[in-house]
Amino acid sequence: MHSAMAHGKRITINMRFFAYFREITGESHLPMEIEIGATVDDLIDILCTRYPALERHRKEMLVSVNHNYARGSETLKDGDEVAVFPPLSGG
Amino acid sequence: MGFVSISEGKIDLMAVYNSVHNPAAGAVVMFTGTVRNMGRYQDDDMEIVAMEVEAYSDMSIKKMNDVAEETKRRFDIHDITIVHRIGRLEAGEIIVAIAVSSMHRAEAFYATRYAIDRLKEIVPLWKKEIFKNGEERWVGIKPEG
Repeated sequence: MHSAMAHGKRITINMRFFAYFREITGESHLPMEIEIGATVDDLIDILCTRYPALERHRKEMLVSVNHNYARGSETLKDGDEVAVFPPLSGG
Repeated sequence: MGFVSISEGKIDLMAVYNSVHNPAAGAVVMFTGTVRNMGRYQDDDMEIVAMEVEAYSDMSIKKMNDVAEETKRRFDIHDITIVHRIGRLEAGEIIVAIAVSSMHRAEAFYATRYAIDRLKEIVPLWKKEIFKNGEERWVGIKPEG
């Protein structure tokens, strides 16, 4: 059995970063290639490796996919707009 | 007609009011949130001179619409408008305005309270406090260490 990820096929997602996650990463828009079949949790692992300063904020990280709040188990699709951001403080 | 919007300029409170007012409404309740000049955590003596507000515009509008729709479903109201500022605001400026119209006052009061609480929970917006001494701090960020 080969998992989908073992085939090495990749998809492109459009990352968005906000507030102090934008400042930590130095990015507000970022196209990213990830393995097909990757979930939101996989993506968070990738981001925390790429931007180690995000690691201490992992527990408070909110993720949206195409403008809807996403669970860690959600599988990402080619072309998704995925945003990671800290707890909200509007109002 | 009620509406939701994100505003880079000062909020026109009269326009917010007029958007929900109608002859069948016995009450219009308005809430405004303003930029306080004092922080909420330690160092409360540090004076805040300004606030920078960031939105995830597309999602913020979508979620503000969700708040308006939820509020209409839960309460017997006529209409609701929600406007949030973004960009740099000076202390004392209005950062958010909500207006709700209803036949009787009670529903409008309850609905307005619900709408501002839900906005804080689900609308992606972030505030950075700017202090008189030049320091800046995102609201809600955990202190280092």
